[in-house]
Amino acid sequence: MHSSMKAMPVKRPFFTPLTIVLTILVVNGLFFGAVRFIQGIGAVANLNNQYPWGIWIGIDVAAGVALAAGGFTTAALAYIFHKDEFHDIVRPALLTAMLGYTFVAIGVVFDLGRYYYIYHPLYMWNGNSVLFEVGICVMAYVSVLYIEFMPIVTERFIGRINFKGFLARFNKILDSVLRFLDRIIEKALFFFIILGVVLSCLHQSSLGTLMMIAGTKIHPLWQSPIAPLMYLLSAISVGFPMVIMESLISSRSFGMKPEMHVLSKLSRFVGPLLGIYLGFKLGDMAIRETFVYLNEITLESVMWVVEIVIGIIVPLRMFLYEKVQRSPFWLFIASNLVIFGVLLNRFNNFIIAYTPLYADKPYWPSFGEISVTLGVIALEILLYRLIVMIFPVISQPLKGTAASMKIRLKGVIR
Amino acid sequence: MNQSRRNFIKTAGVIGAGIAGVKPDKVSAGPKNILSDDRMGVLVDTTVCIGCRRCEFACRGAHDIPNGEMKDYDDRSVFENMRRPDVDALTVVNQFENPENTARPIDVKVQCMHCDQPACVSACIVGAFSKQENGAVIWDTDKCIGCRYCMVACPFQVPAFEYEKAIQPRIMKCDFCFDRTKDGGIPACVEICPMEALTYGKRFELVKLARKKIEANPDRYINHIYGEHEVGGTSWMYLAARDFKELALPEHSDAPAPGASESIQHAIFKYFIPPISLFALLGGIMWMGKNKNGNELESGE
Amino acid sequence: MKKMLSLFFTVCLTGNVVFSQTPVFKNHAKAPLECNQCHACENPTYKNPCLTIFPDFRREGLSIMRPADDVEALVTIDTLANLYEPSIFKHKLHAEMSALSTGGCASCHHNNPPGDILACIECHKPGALRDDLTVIGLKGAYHGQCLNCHRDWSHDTDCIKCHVEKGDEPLAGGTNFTEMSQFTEPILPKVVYETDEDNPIVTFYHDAHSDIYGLQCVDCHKNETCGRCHDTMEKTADVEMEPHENCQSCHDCDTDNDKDCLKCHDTKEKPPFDHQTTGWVLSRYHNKLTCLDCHSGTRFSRLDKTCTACHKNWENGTFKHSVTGFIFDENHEDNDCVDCHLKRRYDQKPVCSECHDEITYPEKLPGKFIQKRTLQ
Repeated sequence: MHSSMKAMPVKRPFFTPLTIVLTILVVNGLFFGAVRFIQGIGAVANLNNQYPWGIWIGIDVAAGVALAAGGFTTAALAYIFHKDEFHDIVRPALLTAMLGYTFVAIGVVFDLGRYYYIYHPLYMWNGNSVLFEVGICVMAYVSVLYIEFMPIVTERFIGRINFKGFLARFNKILDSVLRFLDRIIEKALFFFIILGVVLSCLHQSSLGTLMMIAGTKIHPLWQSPIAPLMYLLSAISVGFPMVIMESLISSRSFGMKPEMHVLSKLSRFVGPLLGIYLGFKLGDMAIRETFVYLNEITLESVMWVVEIVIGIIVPLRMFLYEKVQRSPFWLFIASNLVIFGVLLNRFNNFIIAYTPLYADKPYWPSFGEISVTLGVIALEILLYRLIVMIFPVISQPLKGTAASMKIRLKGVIR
Repeated sequence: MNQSRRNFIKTAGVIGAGIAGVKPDKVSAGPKNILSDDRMGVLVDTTVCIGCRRCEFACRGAHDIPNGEMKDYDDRSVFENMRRPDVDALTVVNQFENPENTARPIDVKVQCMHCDQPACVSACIVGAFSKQENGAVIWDTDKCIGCRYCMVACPFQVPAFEYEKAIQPRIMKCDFCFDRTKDGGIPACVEICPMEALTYGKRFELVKLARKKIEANPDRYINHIYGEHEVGGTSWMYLAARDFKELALPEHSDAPAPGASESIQHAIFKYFIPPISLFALLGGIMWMGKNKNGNELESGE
Repeated sequence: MKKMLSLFFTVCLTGNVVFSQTPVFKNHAKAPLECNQCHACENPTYKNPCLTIFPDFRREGLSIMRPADDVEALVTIDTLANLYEPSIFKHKLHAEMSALSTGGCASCHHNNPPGDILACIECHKPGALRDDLTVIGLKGAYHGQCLNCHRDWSHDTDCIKCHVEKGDEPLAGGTNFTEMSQFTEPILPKVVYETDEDNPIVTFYHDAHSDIYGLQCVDCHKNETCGRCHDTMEKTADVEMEPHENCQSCHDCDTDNDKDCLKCHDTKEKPPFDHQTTGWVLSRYHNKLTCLDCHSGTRFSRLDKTCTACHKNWENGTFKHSVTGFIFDENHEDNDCVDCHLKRRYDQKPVCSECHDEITYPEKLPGKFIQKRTLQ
């Protein structure tokens, strides 16, 4: 722990030109979302009996889960492997994961025909179903994430609940509830952190099993028996680049100095992790002899090559350069390439590789689908910004103890 | 559930329960998947079918879907495009050109195949689908959450979804007329078929019948009963004069459709052994590191 | 031929008759059949007859063949009398048509064991839920029998072609089924074939073959499909056959001999056969005869032209000369034929002066004409 750094709410104006653009995207997405809920999925999405799943699952859910992997990888690194120097980035990673998974759930709600029955899997079990496992794990993990986030909430509000008027009588009760929670979670946090990692490993890998049941409908380049392992490896690989990317964006957006001392160290893990992922990917190809599909130029083969070359090989090489590790710019580029690679992998596996038996035309997401997906992502970014402005998430250099005391005593909700 | 799997579950259950301390029957809670020896099936003889589409008429009638007048189904223009089962047509007949005899096109009825190892039963997140003792693969609409994973999973691309409904959209597919067949009745399409191109009976007898037909008329049929072994066997089976690929029946291996995903799923997840081991391992690493460093692990910081 | 075969197999399949659980005909052990034609095992019992599927009785022992004109004219099918007006099956008409195909009666009466002809329902039971899956139900049997042929040439399967809903108007053509079941031969007078030969035109006088030469339809049409005549859309493929085969079954000709080719092949349409060109002018009596009445066997050239070569019983006293239109008077009545018809030239009118030198003879004819005699 760096004594000079402390997680604090960021004090900057909420609205910037970028957030206004994001807000427009959110409103647009909400509009199409409303149409979906009023007139049905068919009114908005280009989904049909041949293509039951589109980008709402392929991107919002599959890629969303993968890209929220920063939470469990960072938590594992910092707490389970006791790499204390990374504590500063745990909170942003945790917040990303929490928001990421929350919006995975929201994405699912858009896609579910009977979204109001989303609780059904809790007591209608099907142990054979991969989706059931994913669903239960995601639900459990979201809860774990909220629990893990709880200390940040208690830290923010203990001693600062200050309702006015009628509600004032609850101040004391709420405060003691918060204190009680704080004590409990403090004792049990280690359990939830391990549980979070275990749950993540389970469902990250199960996402890879998800399309396996589609059998011949999935292109052989992706239909691998070790898909779950590769999904897990890619999720672990994309965790740190995601944290790096976010940290760089937030520091830029809030006009702070990039946390290069942490990020450079973090980036050293990415290369080897990507290497393992690439090794399995190519080994799988060699064993199953799927390279024959690369002989001809098809959408699938091109997408596979793009995924491997731009999404894995190029960033892998970049992360092994020390110059890249030290440069915020190059680190940003390299991280984005990894993120792009994993996102493309999920997109490929769920959308491109999926060839239904009787489709008369290929699936192309409708404007409404894209709007909802973009809206969900935009809302997620806006919420991230909002939360780091309210809660002590991002570590900032302390300007002496006085500043710290000031914050501690102020206790006013913005 | 076949014998080998049952054995496996029994053994694994005992070990699993011992280690994990969980009762096996609680963990393996899943949908019903019975494979009775007496399960029923239908043999579709595409060389007999004349494409009169009466099955479409009867099917709608049996499932409370508006079905118009019988003579509407004499319309042959529908054959110009290949059709698939949909929410308002649980079965459809497609027509294919017969290069050997242009006057006699080949008509192929399409509906749910009612797999013996159904992918939808395996896939369904809430276990709404089930394989019944009489062979029918049916589903409980009240459980359904509309995730459409069954449609992704189905090796024959059969389930359809009511995309246009905002509230209570349903998955729709052939249900083997379960309301009729469960009490010894016969499916509506089989009942109406004027050519008796559809034969309803016990599956093993149908396989025997199909074999005899092929044997007696080797010029008439190719030597292949579609559905006998495909995806582990299906309740509906087909005979044809031409390769089934030409009749838009997909080529499948004999491996059950949910096979690989289910075994991986069970390997990763069942009886919680791997997760609990992982938990223990991570806990151990964490504890050892804590002792070494003497660190406190408390609040999020 | 291939087509016919497939039709044949179709028919035999859609029937797929085996005996029902009770023996279909009594004392069948005495029937001219091998046990293993029906029973798969060595010792069949009443309870376990181990019947084979699709026994084939066509090979031998089929006893149901009857001449096509000696069968029931109409069969009424009223199994669904509660829903539809009965369907009238023009049985005789179909029997006559079937005779032109390879199947004959067995096209429909497949697998009928020796003995009586069985009604469909004897083997094919009503109801879709069947005890014995190998035997198709009655509905399937009926529809299979009709549609297997009809759809081939009509190219539709509309129910209305056979079924009239209860109380609806009868089908086009009315209800006079008896009249409709008369086989009206749609005889084409003449068919002109164009071939690839040097002399491409072959003219076939169809009416002459049926009317004059006295051929029955079945004599030439042995291998027909329904569509050959009935397919208005002409989608049905013709049965492929060696084109000379049908003619050569009667006409003696060597296809390798160029001279023989010219008998049929020409550069233009050939005129119909005229008997006069052979040197034998057909009288009005002989004109009515079919070829084979005189040309017994296959001998068509250089027949003995004397009357008694055919009219073996023509002698004095047995030949009534009045049929020629000329009655003798008492003076000539007892003359021998050759007395007047010198050199037995019966086709020429005798001349009186060859016998008579009296001057009165032209007034006194040897009898009176009762009718103007015409040659040809």
